[in-house]
Amino acid sequence: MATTVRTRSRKKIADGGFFGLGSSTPPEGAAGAALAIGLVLGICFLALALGLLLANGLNAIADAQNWDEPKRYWLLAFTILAMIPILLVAVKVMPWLSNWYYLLPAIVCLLAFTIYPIVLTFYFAFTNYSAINSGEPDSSAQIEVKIINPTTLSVLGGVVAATDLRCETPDCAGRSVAFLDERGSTIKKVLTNIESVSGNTITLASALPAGLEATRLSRVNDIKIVGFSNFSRIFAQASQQLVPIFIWTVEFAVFTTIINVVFGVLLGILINNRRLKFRNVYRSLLFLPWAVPGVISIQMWTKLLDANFGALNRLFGFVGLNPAPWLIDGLWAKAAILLVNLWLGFPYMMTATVGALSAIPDELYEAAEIDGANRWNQTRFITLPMLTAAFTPIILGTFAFNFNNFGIIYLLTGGKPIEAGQLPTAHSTDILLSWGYNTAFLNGIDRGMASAIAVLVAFLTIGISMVNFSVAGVFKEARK
Amino acid sequence: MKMRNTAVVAALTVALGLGIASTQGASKVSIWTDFKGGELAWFTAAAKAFEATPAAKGAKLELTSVILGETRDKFIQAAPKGEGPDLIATIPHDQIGEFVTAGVLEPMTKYLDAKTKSDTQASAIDAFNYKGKLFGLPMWSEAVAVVYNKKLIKSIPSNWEAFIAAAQKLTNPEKQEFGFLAPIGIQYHMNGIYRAFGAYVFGKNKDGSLNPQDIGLATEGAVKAAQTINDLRFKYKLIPEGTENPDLEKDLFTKGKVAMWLTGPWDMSAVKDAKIDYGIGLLPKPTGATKPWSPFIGVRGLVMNAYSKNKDVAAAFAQYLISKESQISLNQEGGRLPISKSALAQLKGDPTVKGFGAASAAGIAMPNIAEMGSVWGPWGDALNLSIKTANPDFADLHKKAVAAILGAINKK
Amino acid sequence: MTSGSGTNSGSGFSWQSIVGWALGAALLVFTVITVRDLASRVLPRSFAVMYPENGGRNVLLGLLGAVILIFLTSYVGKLWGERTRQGRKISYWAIMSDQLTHLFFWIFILVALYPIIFVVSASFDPRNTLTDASLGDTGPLIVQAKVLPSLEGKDFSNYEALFKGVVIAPWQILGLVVFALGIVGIAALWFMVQSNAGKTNASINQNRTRAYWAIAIGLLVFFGTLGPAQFTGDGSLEAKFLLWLRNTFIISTITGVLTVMLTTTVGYAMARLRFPGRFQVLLFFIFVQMFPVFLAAVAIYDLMYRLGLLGSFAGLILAYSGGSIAYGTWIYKGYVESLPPSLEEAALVDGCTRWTAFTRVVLPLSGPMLVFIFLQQFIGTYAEFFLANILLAAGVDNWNIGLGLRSFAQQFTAEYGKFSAAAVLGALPIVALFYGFQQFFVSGSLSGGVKE
Repeated sequence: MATTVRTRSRKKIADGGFFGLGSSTPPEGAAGAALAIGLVLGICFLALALGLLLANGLNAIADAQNWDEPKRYWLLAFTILAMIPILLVAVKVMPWLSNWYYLLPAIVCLLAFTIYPIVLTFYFAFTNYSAINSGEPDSSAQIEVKIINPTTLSVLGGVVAATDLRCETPDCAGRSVAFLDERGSTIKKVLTNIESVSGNTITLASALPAGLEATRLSRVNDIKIVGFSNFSRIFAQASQQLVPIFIWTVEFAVFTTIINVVFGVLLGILINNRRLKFRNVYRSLLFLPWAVPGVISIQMWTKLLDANFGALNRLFGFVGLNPAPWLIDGLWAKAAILLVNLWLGFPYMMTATVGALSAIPDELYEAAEIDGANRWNQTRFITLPMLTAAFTPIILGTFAFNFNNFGIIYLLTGGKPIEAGQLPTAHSTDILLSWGYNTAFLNGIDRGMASAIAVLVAFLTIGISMVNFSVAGVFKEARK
Repeated sequence: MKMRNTAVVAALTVALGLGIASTQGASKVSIWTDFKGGELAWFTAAAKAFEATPAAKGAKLELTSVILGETRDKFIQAAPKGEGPDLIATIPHDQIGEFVTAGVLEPMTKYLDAKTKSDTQASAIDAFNYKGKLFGLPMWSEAVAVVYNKKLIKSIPSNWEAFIAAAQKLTNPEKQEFGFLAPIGIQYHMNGIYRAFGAYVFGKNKDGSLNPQDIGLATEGAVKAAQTINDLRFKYKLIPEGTENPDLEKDLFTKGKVAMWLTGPWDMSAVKDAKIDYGIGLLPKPTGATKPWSPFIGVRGLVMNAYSKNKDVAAAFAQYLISKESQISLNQEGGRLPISKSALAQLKGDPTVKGFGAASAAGIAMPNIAEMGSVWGPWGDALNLSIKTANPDFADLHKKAVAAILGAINKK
Repeated sequence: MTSGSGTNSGSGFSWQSIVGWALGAALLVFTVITVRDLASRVLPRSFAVMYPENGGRNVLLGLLGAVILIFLTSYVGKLWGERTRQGRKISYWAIMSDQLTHLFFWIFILVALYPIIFVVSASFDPRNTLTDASLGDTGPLIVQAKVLPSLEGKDFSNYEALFKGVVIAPWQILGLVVFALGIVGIAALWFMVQSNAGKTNASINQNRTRAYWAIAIGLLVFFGTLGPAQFTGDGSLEAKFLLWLRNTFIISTITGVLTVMLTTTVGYAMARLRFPGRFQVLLFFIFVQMFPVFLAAVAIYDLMYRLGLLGSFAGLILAYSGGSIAYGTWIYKGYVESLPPSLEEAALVDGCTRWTAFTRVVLPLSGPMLVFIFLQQFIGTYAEFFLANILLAAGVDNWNIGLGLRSFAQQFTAEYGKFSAAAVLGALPIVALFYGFQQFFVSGSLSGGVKE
């Protein structure tokens, strides 16, 4: 793509440098932006195409020479190698592109390791991809055959091909099947389709590669495109899954933000008292819950919250309270999550409060004192407004972070406990993200459905973040 | 100048790839195992010994310790990509349906010779038989039974009322003394009671194969079974909230605080280490049940990757592992229950083999069809809800579980 | 939301203040209902818990006594202070509120650090304390009730179990020695600075840099050469702890370096260069980062297979690389904007290109920022385990700390001591980093850097 743009534009050099040819100032405006982004993407894809070409070439040579199969990650190296000359040429022709070279490493990484998986996930959302429908040969539906010629097979052992391959139609038309070619250094799958079956003769839709020696033909459980059926299943069961989970996700994110901010700000104001001795000691000690990695501290908590033997209920008993069903009862489990998340989050909020308070100039208070304002009015008209301004982005960030805070749910409760009427993928404390995880990796390994959930979560998250960013002024700052 | 930057990134990428990616040699047989402790040492020694035999053809065995919960997902994902192990030692037979439909298991019918076959319990071979083909070589079987502390109780009463009465007499939670403990939240352990009341997981077709559309977990029998389990906690006050955790029960039993405990052979090394004078027996037939108590039998076996490049050596090692001698030495190490008839005959006197053997004889093999994967979750949920409060609506809970199971099975 | 009501009520009864108060009231009602609901669901008294007579009353009385004591001592303090510092009036209220604040903080610190105290104590306890249903029969009542851990019978056996059968080569010991010397050096310098009234000078700074290098090189030598073959234990899970630490260290370090390399150039360009499309790309980076990446795990798995990097650390590191670009870029952009542009302009006038101005002027000035970005990524990667679980090769030898601890927690319910020991040792490096670079996290807290 990039090359065609360049050759077409070369003619225009004479009359004033379209596309900023030869110029170090980039073309202006939206058209300029679109051109630049198009060019950068074009360079990436061109390099990828060349990389693929080189890698496939090497593979073909290795195959012909009977070498070991080349490592597949050579593709990465080839792509980057191919990119270097393209970049050198491009910057000669359009010097303004050099600005973009600062962004290129990050763009390449994002395209390869984030965008590509996301696009693939969107695609999976419309398929029936699962542990069983994985596009792989099924060793439970396998027959012994003899290859008569590249398109004809003869079934051995007196079995009925259509039954043993579990064909949808008696003549198996269109059924995808596979041979495993085990002769090389790696096992190759030879995929093909059946055109028809009559008696014990199978006719294939396309010719097998020459020299294939294999005797076992397996059914392939295809990944099929199923349209919106994953989404319609989500909405059909909305009252059991989507709705309660969404409500709890929002509740959790809202309450945990409120609780953490209130505690953090109170502690911050208390510890900011300059008369207080040992305040640095207190601060350092209270820093500890922040410093311990969450993956470790949350797991410590699961033991402390054990209903019978946990230290917390033993403490309850010591002060004469009955044991609480932490992690056993749905409501208490939710309380436990809020409690542990407070423990994890208050040092951060406290630190942020101290930071925000120390940014308030002392003169403000002095001026207020001269005007006769008492401590309460100083707090109300100076401290709180200043804090609110500093805390708006923090509050929004905390909300967004907790909306997808899979870690605490997974590690603390695993979505448990179960309550009547809940499906196995969505228990009392599951949030949207852990619901997706359960669907993808635990019950039934339904990856298509999980991808559909991921798509829903992505839209919700982007919506929330848009609001956050416009309030926090990220758009304005980024435009600077 | 920018070129240097790009070149650095390029060099780094290549270095990363070259430096860290793994390489595969041809004469290596890789094996995943979830053996631990003494059994792992036994397994490592067996691998060493096998390497020296001619059947190994000079190949090196590469053992990788995995945990059981990790194998299913990892293997199903990795095997078709050529990244899986050649052999897994071992998986429980109820998982093979899922493995086979994912296309990752090699049929092993031809690797079980006639002599070994005739020496192996038929039920163990059936457990690894899927749609007429053998997809793994069975190694040992396991079933839960009641392990009792002879110091606290002489024998297990053979009648349910007497059993409950004896257990109640020995129960005093305040002093951490328990007459009878069982993981009543785990469907695997509770199957014996469900089955005693006539509940079943899958019904059978006319040809004897399992019918995944006929789920028998919401039958009248299932409701009675759930009621019986609920009574253990709420009516007879035997198993207080929190004590259904098997690890905790093990802890209490090995401290001599529990008279009778429902568990499997996997805990026997801990019981032996604690020098408890133990006996093993069956749970009596619950009052009102139509059949005797009948637990699930799990068979553990070795399975082979369909994409393995070293099938002959891997199969030879699997055959080596299921030989009578190695079954006996494994039993000596940890107390696994052999499935070789001659090994069983030789170990007749061993109390563990005798006790769990009887439970195994009374039991029924777990279904091994792929649909079983959809049963565990909802059934476990229903059971857990059935023991949370006194007398919930058992019928409703189990009906919902069956609906969820059928929903999961039929969505494909 | 609650603070919103406070800010707007200054200007009389605006509609915002009414909404604020209404929201506050609704929240209060909701809280009361929820708490009552919670209270109605508590369990009956458990056999495994001790209920001392009048426990609740005694605790309350104790607290009340402490408060009354503070009322009295504050008054004494006021009198004493006024007598010794003649002519100055000391407010009774100020002393008392400070004393109460102290009391509050001590109680709060005890409660907040309780989980950590508990786990550290359990890590030294050779018996398993968690599923031990029985209560103690010696010591003070609070220890008997197992509310506070007992100090009796502690030893290092849990820690020993983590290192059983690990064979360390001589050069690795050398690496550890270099590392230890670095730590000692840092500590010595810290005391020097403290005793010198917080003043540093050039030689101290130079030596500190050397000590940091010693730590880094020591760790690199030790972990870089540690291999699975050195773990000759009986194959028990816990004996692989050091191997997990090594895996985690390798993955986190490389990911951190990669992140710094990827984000600095972008951050610089965003801060200093003006060209169309720049803003759109930055927004794009930020939006992409919102997609919960691990839900695309299946696709990432597929990609890593295609690249032949499945099961390798390289695959995992590359999968992480995309995840941190937006945050690092944003932070670094802000940092560059805070630098005076005149420095680079001078360099440009002297004939430097943009690129050399960046590498020779801006990069050397951004040392602390680079360390911060590296640390953020290092810490974030250190305990990550969802992608690691999917992408790392099967087998305990390939786990990172997060995976190892997770399997501990699943399997070791009855062996809580070993889990605790692993948790303590696993957390130690990160805790040390946090305290060592405290000022970074304190100053970074306002820029919205929530720990992952």
